[in-house]
Amino acid sequence: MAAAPEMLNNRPIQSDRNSTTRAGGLSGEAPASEQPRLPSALVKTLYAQAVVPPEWRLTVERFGQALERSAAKSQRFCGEGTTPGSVIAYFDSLRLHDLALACACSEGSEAAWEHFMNEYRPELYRAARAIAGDAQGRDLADSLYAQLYGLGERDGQRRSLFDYFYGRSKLTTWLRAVLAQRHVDELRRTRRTESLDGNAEGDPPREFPDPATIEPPDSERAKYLAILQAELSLALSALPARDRLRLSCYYIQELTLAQIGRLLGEHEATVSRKLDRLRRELREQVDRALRQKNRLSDAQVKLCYEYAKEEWPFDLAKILSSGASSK
Amino acid sequence: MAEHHKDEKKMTGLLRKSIVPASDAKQEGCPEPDLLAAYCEHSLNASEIARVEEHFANCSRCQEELAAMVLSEPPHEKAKARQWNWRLVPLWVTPLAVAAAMFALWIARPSLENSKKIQPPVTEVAQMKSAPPADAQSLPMIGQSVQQSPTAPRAAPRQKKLDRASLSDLAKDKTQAKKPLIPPKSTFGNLPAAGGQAAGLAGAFGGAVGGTLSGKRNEDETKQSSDAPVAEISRHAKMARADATAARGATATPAPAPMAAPQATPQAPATKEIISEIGEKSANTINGAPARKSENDRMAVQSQSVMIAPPPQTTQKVETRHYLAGNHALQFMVYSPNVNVMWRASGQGRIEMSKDGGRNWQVQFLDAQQVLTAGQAPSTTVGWVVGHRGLVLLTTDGITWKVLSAPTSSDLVNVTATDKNHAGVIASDGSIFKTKDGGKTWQTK
Repeated sequence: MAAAPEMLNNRPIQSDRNSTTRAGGLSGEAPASEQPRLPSALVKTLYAQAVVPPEWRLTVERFGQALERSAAKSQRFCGEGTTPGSVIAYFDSLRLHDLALACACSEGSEAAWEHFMNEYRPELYRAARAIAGDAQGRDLADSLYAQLYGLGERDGQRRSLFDYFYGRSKLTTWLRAVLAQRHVDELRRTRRTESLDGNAEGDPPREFPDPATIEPPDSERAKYLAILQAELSLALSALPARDRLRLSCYYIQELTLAQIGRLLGEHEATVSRKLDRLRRELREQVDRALRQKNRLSDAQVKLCYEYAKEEWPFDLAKILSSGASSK
Repeated sequence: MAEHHKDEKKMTGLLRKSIVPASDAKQEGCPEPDLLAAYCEHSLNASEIARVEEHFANCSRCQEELAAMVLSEPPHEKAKARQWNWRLVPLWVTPLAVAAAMFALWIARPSLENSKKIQPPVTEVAQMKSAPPADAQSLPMIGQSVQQSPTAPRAAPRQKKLDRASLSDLAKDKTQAKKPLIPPKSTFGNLPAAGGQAAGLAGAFGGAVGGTLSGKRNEDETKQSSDAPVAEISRHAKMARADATAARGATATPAPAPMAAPQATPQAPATKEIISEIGEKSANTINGAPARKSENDRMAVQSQSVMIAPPPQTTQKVETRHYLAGNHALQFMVYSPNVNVMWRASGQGRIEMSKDGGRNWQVQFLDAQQVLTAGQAPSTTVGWVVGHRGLVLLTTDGITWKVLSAPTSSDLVNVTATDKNHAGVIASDGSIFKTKDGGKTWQTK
């Protein structure tokens, strides 16, 4: 749900009724009317390519506005200089038919809605169940319908979630993304509330031994672990974004190699190989840093890892949280 | 070695604990659902990918969303990804492609001789006169006529079975709705039809290879599912084979066979078209790279396909797929032996290249006056593309396209090439031109 206000803020307003007074969003986005209008011949060609059934009653003008909106959005995001070639390539890559359907639904065409309900409803529920589980999936999907239909009115205009579909992916994938975003936001909100309610006294003490019982016997232990953690964090932060994403997907989200592969567009074996390489390189880098920068002896380095192995699940979490709060 | 392995394990343990979400606080500027969706479909361009990944790497919210996206993938996309894995193994592809090519050649050879006798396609009315109505009831009649032949007792039951199977299969095909007369007849035992299918196979060899590959693997499963083009193509391939055998058997019997053969003869081109289309569909699902760039699927679904079935090729290095985008632009793909390198050409004189499996495209040639029709890429740097009015384009570095001297002034419809020097082009009037010197001189047959 948290995504909705965000999106409403930078939403370019499109409507048949007042296409001349398209007033732009509330944030700094350029109003659509300032965008160069697309040549009508191009719009007509794209409209033809979209294969819009006549019963949807989608006008070429309205479709053209959606295209302009989509192009404006893409340029704003890329920030690239546009050439005619790149614009054509962009329109070439759009899901025109899906965009037309979203447009027609946003306009309130009954035939388009019927088509949407017949074709997309089962997939929407399936995806919602896959994301939020059987019990909550239905609610998640249902909550989307109201917004897709555009129940919320603002400035006297009906606003539909469909207006945020820019045709850059299949409509089903976009719907899944919306569902995913809402579900995650909801989860995070619940988590935050829970942690506020339940953890007033700090980290849950059930797993972690009392710091007092650990540190006095071997104060070196904490030091070594802190050094190790610092070096590891440093090495991690120096990695390319894609590698960090790969590691996060694997270690935090606990996706399988095949799933990561599908996400990143790589073969499963490639993901596995790259993860191996990353682990090896990180290990070498941390080793080097421990020896050279921190001047630890071989024995001390070994000790670092031994401590980490023994205490990692307990101490490191603490070190991490204290490290994060001290930053 | 054991020590090294132990180190690796330690590192795994460390990482598992130390890669923590950068921040649980809500990140600013999370990509909106449209970008998230486009990222998951791999349809963003390189700079967009870099930008969103930089964000994703630091944003736990987005990472959770990505995980949710992966978990909610439709089952068929997962299956598609699995098929893609098969295609990634080049060891499987190469020998099978060669085998398919040889098979197609073997089937198509007699049909090429016969094809000279093929009359231009007749109108539907004429067909109705020459053939009994090709509905479900009338179909077995021709099968029976074969069956009655005493000299072909073995071929007959099988033929009949195939006819029924093929009818029900083809009834599922959308194309059948448009051309109800064609498919049933095309499956009858006659050489030209079989040759047409073989030519279709050669045209969509990628699909055919995949078809024979996985068709064998799970033939029984796929038989039940109507939306399995893989099985379709393999079955058609089988039918082509069986029909050819049956027809050979039938020619030995003087009475019924000659009757059946001429009836179906004019259908050969149409058969070719349909089979190419089926092959194209299966190529869409099997061939991983273009299938992922499913804009091809979309356009193929939205627009009516136009097939130009290439002649049987000896070197199966490339697959050319054509489709009519909307009303105007005829588009086709040219795949190099490397799955990541491909060209996309539109009929309106535009050639684009992708080096990353179709994710990003770069325009290499643009001349809106020209109409491009077909292409072939024997290697990742050498590509041939032909078009109307004798246009022949060649790239030898994979980047720049050179217009070669025109072998003819008529429209060229296909090209086969083995390297940067040797190529053959086919004109719409049927004439064939060959070059051995990279297009400087052309010899006509």
